[in-house]
Amino acid sequence: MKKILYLFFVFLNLNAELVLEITESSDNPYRIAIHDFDGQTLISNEISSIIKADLQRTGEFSVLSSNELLAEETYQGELNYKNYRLLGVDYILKGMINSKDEMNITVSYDIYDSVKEKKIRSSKIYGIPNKTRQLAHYVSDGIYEEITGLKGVSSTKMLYVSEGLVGSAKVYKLMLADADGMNEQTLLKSNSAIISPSWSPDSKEIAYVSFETGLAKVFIQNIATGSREVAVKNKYQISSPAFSPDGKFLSLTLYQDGNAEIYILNLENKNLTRLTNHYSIDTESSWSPDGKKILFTSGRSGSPQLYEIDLLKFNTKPKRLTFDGSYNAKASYLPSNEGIVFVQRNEGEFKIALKYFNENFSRPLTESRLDESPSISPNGNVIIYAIKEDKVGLLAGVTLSGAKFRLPSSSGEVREPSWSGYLR
Amino acid sequence: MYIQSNNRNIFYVSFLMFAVSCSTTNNTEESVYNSTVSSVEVSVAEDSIVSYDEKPITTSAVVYFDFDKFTLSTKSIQTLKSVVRAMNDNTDMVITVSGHADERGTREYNLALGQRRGDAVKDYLLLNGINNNRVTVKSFGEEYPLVTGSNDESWSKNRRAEIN
Amino acid sequence: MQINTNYTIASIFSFLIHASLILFLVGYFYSEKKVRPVLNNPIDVSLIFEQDAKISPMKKTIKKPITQENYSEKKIVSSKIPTTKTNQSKEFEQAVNVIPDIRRLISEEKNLSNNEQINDADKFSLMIIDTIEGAWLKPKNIQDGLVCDLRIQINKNGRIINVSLLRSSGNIRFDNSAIKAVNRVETFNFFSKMDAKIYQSNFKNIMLTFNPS
Repeated sequence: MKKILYLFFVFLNLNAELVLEITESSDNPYRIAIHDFDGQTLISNEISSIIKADLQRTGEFSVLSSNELLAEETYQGELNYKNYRLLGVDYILKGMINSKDEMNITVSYDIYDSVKEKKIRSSKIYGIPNKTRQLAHYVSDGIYEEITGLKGVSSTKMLYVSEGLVGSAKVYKLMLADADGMNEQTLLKSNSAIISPSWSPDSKEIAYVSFETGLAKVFIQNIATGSREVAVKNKYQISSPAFSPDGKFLSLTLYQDGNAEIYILNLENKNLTRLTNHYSIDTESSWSPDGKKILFTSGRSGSPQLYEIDLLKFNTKPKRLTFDGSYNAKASYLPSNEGIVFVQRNEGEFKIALKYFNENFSRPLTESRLDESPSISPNGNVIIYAIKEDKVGLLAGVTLSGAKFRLPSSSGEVREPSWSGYLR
Repeated sequence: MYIQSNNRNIFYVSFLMFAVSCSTTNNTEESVYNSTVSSVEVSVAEDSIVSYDEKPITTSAVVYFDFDKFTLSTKSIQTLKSVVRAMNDNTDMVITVSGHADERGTREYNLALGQRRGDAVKDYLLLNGINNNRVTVKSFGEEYPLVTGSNDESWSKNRRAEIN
Repeated sequence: MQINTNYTIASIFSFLIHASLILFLVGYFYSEKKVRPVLNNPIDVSLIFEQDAKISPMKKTIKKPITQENYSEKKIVSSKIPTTKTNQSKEFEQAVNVIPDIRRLISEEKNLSNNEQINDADKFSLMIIDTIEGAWLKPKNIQDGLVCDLRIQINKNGRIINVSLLRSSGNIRFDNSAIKAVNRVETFNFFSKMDAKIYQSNFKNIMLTFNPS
């Protein structure tokens, strides 16, 4: 019995718990070393460079590629973790590309943690040969998720409008591209303006405003089939479409009452419910992630400001959300419902701003003069928006962690980006 | 017996500790999302378009506005007075008022602003005896500027309502 | 009969081992600290503690059960942080002026020796805070008032062998930044200068609170 009691007290070796508080910080992203993928060299290079670009665009990674590293740092078959740590590397990526036959490519990759000195993830992705970019994006997302715990958005898509000239005539296109601006495809081509593209929650349909009939009308189009229909058939102007998070409703701005008012269209039975009733402009409606509130821009206080309506009590007065700046418009909610991102005019310049609900000030996120149309990524970490530089419209991105990037533009002016939901 | 059970316990204990200290690797498998995309080309409806491919030299009148405003200035009212006269002289004249905005600010808000500007013109005309059926208002927001350029001069020329 | 007794003892033995192992792993025992009585050290008459300049923003709690002996000790620690030297010499003077009661003197001696150990502990705590602050990137554009707690286990060489998130701030990016800071530090090199006793009683497991405000 004595022995038992003795051992019992050994386990009761009570340790001190010191509590320390950290208040200041300095600067460092996750550092990952990406080795060239084994397998086919051509694709391998492309995949490595896409992964590197994807991770850098998140603003949270800095990437060392093979030519910056010595050979694979292995010792007796195991990675030489100590050497990687000396190089300041936190994680290591190794992968392989396999194509069994012409129709199938498999990418497998492993992620190693140099501090814990072990493999933390091993993944396989099955793809098809002409979609190697997508394979690479899936790898980037896997890496991002494993290390940060957040879902990655490299494999998502975006919509935007491009305007160009064919001869002397203007051509407008509604484009679909990958999150890195590549792989562009035309969804709609028109001689009249297209504005306000937006995604359905399942990312299979889009809604937009087209001037093809001579006035602004909202169309809903299926991406795969191309079939489209007018959202509401009447002789008045309609604009500013936004799908509800459950996909059953579309909020719209109707002009039939003599001024812009917000309505909600039931997509099943086509009933319209009026939401705003004020002689000033009410437009740019946007749904909260839980579908219970709608954010919109209203001129009722004398200048465009942001207001919110609770859909469960929509007969009550909308609540005003912005008080600083002479112009606050085109707002959308962060996916976490912690705040909003919108366009704000300050001292004559238009910038993209972020405001948390529990704070009473806005934070400017961008720096140029004519920024507009912000769209938030589904993980809430990146915002793309349109800028105007040297008379040319371009798409730019900013991450909440402060990184900035530009998206390549292939044709003419691009604007009005809209970020899809998750596709994986 | 006592010693044997001791050994067994130690074995269990050490096995448990070993098992717990080795955390697992995250293994995943997935297939790439495959989807088709169709492209649509819009064929223009011939009759109902107000064409903006050329400069609108056929415009009968243009009135201008201040930034973010849709109030008529005295100069605008002068212009509109002559429109009223023209319409009274020619009683089967029908006009379209199109409202526009400069490029600053958001497109949807500018679309609504263009509408307000067009309505301001229509309201004046109606107040001065013109029949509702003779005036149609459309808005094009910032989509069809008269002048390209990102400066005050260009912008002021684009904040307009055109009467055709 | 004898056989039965043996089985009983063995099964009790086995149960205790497994139960305490599981509880140990679950962290049940991380609560009170049992202060072991300090061995007798001679009093150092000139107690000069070298204060690190950057003290004020730090908040530190050392959790101990409040027993009779330790109560005065704890008081000394908390009041010491802003102005060290004067308080200590004051305490010392008070001790000297008191009519010698041998038991009292011995307990004072013990307290002051404990203080010395705690002074060192403070020093190391500050170094730990410094190192981690140097490695911590607070994510941009997050709300004010976020706080998260991590628990880390350190071996006697200063290597951080385990990190776990005790209390989330509610924001993944903030939590990740704290974990990243600890992972980046990896080893506290100064632990080699640390007394084994101090390590055992203070620094084997510590809780870090990341509070930028």
